[in-house]
Amino acid sequence: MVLSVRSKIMLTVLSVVMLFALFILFYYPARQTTYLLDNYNNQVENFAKTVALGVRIALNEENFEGVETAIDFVRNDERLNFVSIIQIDTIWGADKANFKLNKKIFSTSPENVEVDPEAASNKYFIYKKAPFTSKIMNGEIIVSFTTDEIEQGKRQIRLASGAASLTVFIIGLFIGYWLARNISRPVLALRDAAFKVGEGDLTQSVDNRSGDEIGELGVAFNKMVKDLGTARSEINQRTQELTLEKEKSDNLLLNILPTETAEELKNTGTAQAKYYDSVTVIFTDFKDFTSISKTMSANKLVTELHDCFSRFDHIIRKYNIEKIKTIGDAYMCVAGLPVKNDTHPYDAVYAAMELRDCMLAYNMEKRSIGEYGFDVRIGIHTGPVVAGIVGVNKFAYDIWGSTVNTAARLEQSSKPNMINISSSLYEIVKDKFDCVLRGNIDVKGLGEIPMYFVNGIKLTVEK
Amino acid sequence: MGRIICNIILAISMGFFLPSSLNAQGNGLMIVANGESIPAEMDMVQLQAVLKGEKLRWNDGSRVSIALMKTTTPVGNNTCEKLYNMSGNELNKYFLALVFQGKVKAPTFFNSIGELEAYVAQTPGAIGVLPESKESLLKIIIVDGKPQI
Repeated sequence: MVLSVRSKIMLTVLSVVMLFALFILFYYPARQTTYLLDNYNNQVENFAKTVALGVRIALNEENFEGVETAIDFVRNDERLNFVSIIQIDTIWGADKANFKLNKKIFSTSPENVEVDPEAASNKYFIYKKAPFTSKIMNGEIIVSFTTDEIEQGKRQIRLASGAASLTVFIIGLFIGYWLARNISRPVLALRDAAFKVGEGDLTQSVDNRSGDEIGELGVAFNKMVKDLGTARSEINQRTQELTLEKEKSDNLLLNILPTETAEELKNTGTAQAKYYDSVTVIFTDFKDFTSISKTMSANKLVTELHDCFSRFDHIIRKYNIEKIKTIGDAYMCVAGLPVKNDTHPYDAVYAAMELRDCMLAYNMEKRSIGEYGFDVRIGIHTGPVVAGIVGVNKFAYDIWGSTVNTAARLEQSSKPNMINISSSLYEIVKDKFDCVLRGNIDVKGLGEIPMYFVNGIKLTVEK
Repeated sequence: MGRIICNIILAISMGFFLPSSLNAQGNGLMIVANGESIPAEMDMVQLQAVLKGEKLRWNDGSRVSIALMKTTTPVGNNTCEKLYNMSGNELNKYFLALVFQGKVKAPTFFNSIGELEAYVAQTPGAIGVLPESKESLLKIIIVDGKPQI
């Protein structure tokens, strides 16, 4: 059983009070009774001695004033049972070697009391003896007092002790309750506040008006909660800042890496190269870019490229095509990775058609304001590639394989504003797109390969 | 001549061994008192009753105070024999027993006649026993018609 602080304090105080109350109830009366008895015995004994002295003076000096005074004093005491003079005569035997003491009652006051010279104190009476000697008579004084006053005194002591004990107990009870309440209340308030703080409520504070240790504890608790609140605010602010920074870095990472690869890189620190058995690679390039670029400032050139490639980025994003990189005026992207799908050949052709249309519109805009436009050449090929990250600084997601080279060759072999595709892609998309065979065209490193221009979407398919 | 010498020696011996009062007085006693209410005449029985403490107060309410010569003196011894019919020790024990029971006020005992006379003179209600004397300023109680006992 676990006792509360209040219960423990109450039990402690009550234990002490109980001990004190028991002391008052039992030990104190016992001691007082002993003192009372001792005093009473001494008093009676002194009476006997005083009377004996008076008798001795009276018999030796014929002066009865002392004995009169003493006997009057004793006789007037209401507690007196009797006071008696016992005459003791020494009776010698015939051979004068042995003797015996003969005790007889000489005088007793009051007269009608029967006196036993050998009586001893008992529950009801105290007997005290005092010897005296004189030239006339030897003997002893016996004074007997009743113990009624003692018994009455005992009763009064017990009554007073009981009342005092009860008073002490009640006062102790109140003190214990007051102490327990005053100590446990702030402690319980502290406990409740600590629970709430633990649950995240940092608006808690406790009363600390008392100047004792508990009050100091309350002050320390309030300061701790305040500091925690301040720290949490700072942490929240830092977390928000970190979150923003993370979003920025994530976005930056996603700009250069596919989402899945970026996640893998973040989680493991590396990204494994993956083999894709079928993707579609798109290459674009601007015809006569080098010669046109010579007519522009560097800023204007970069601005124009940024404008074009930004439009490309928006277009390929619609078809889930992954941008790989730009090299000068060349733009490389791939469909079918990092998440494999079956629609990448079509996605690529659709995107290429939109890229081409985009550039045609761009050219018209430029020429309408008297500026040069760019005629785009597009090459597309479908095949297997390996994708991954290379390097440790300024790393970039890239793809490798003959499919990439073939796509690049197809772009180089393309015509302005035309989409040049390989035969492998043609075989896949021919049912959906209107394609024209260009014949076998010699490609560096590959020899002659068949190529097709994509004119547009087949009308029957559109329907 | 020899008879004269014997009388002188006897006279000197009496002077050494007898109290001076006896030298001047006989064995007679007289009763003196202080108080108008104390009867001027008593018989022996009345006197003994008074001296034994049987009468505690006189008619006017004054307390009876008994003054005696100590029993060790000739007068006191004579008093015990003539008035109390007791020895000195018996007298003391008699009064002790009564005093102890609160029945009487014990007599006051004196060593000298002068002290006793002075006490009686100063104490209203006092009654004392003196050796017979023809001259006394105190009230003398006639006992059985005689001033001396």
